[in-house]
Amino acid sequence: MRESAVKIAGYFGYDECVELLLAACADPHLNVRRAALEHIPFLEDDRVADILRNALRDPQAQVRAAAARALAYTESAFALQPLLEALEDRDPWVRYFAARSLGRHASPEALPALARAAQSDEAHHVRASAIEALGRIGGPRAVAVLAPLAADEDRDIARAALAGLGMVSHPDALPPLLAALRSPQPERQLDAVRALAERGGSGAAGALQWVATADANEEVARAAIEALARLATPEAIAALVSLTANEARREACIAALAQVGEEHAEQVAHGLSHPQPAVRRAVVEALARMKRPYASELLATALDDPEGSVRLAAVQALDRLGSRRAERQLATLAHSDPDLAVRRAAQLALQRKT
Amino acid sequence: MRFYAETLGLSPNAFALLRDLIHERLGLFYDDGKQDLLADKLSPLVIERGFDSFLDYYYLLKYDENAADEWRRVIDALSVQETYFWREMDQVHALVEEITPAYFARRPAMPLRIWSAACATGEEPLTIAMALNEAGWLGRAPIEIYATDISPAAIAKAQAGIYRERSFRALPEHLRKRYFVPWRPLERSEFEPAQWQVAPWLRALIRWDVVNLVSDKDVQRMPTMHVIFCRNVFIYFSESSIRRTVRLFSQILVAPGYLFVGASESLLRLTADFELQEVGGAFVYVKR
Repeated sequence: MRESAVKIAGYFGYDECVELLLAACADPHLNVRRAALEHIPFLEDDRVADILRNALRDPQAQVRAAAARALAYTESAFALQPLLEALEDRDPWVRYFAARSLGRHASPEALPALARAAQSDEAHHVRASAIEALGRIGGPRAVAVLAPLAADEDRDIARAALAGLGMVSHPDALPPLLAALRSPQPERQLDAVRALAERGGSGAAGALQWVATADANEEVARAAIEALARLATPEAIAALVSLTANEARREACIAALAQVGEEHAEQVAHGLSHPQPAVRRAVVEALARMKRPYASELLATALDDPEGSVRLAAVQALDRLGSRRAERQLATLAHSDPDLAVRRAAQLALQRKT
Repeated sequence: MRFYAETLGLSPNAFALLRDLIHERLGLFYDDGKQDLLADKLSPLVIERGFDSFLDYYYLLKYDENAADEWRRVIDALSVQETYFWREMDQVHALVEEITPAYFARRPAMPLRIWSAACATGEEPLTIAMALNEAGWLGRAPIEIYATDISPAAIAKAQAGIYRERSFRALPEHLRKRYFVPWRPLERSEFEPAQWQVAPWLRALIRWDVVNLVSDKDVQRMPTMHVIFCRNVFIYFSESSIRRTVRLFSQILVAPGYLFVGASESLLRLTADFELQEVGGAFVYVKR
């Protein structure tokens, strides 16, 4: 009951509850103490800092872990030293949350201690948490620790290191990610793909395009395509458009392009001037699947495409969407398009509108 | 609550990690389309542990020294316990009317061992026991029935032997009267649904246990079997998990041994150890 009351009071943060919440940090029941500690960082009260610092000496590991976690939300100037001490706690979960909180503060002063934890803590999850924190701090010193760990035999450690590198914008972070992309282990490639999608930056789209084009593993190729869509930079969208030339990847790329959002529709529509009709048809389909007015307007420009199959795709897409935007053009096509299939499709589309 | 609101969510990365770990340990496979389902089932456990992300929970399951306790909670949360008495009876009739007589015609003194391998809350093995008793086999032939499930909570319910109306949707009324008695909790409210308790002697015939069907150690501790019922389980397994479990079944089944799977499940592409046969109008995989 007290635990629930503390959570509710902490959630709403009423002024009248502040004293009770602070008092609950010394409650005899550990779940109540833990719940109170989780919420007090959000109170504007000078006593919070000392209470959290004292809680790091609580006999119960779960309470110390809660305090270590809560310190992520206090001012860095105060939190750093207690968290560095918590990183030496005997309980692995206290160290785990201390590392994570240090990552949230992203203070370079924590780098040496986090590097030690990342390289040699006896608990795997503490190492992974410290690795993630190093990624948040970033910079060449963090990369120097993370790069060798990205090739660690332990999957969780390597994955965390790749994810960490994915948070670092420094150019040194890119080579180990590219090396992992070339790994013979698909799971390592997948981790690298996800990290590159997170990181973006120069070289990311090109590397992902290469994986999507050439990798024999379907799951890895699909992940690279999804990562390009997540990046959604002009370079990444252009890569996805080009990839639609590959029949084996076409459907995945169309689905990815359709999901980049209407704000990128114009970039997608640049593909309507691609030299290959198959690519232009794929772009028509991607724009149609966006089901947004501006995307439909862009795809209507394909009604003027020199290739009949592209015009046909555009007519059918507009028909499917029920768009009235291009009725005049459709009427012209229905009457005078040199391609019989286009004329017929345009006539059918117009009939359905009347 | 602020912690949870801020970060509790199943990111694609954490989903892949948890999915693969659950697949490896339990055989259950959640594809990308079932991400929300997995999140719904595990969220209460994550919150109960005081964590704010599924990644924390992944590390707990993988590395914590007390992870075995947490795995039991995961199993209870993920296991599907929707079943009822007298379900898919053509296969049980095949057991009672074809396989059992044929077995005892050859080996009248040797026990026939039947295993309900994913029995949930016990409806299937009790159905088998009732059907065998109705045909007069339980009193005159040595028959051993084993019933297991991966969920300790399900087995505890099976051992309690108390069932609600939903479990009786297909059971003929005269059998309910013969094998069950109305049961009331000590403090029953007027809104408490009606419940029935299975006859203790029938329940005691069955040997209940907790077994993970993708664990070599768990399956190999079962005795040699003549018949295995493993119905409506493989629909939740990946192909690799099905292959692994069927291989384990093959190891502990005698030849010819009988493996019954659910009507919508097929092993044809997955094993060469078994041959699909029609026995008494029901389809059964027979170990070669």
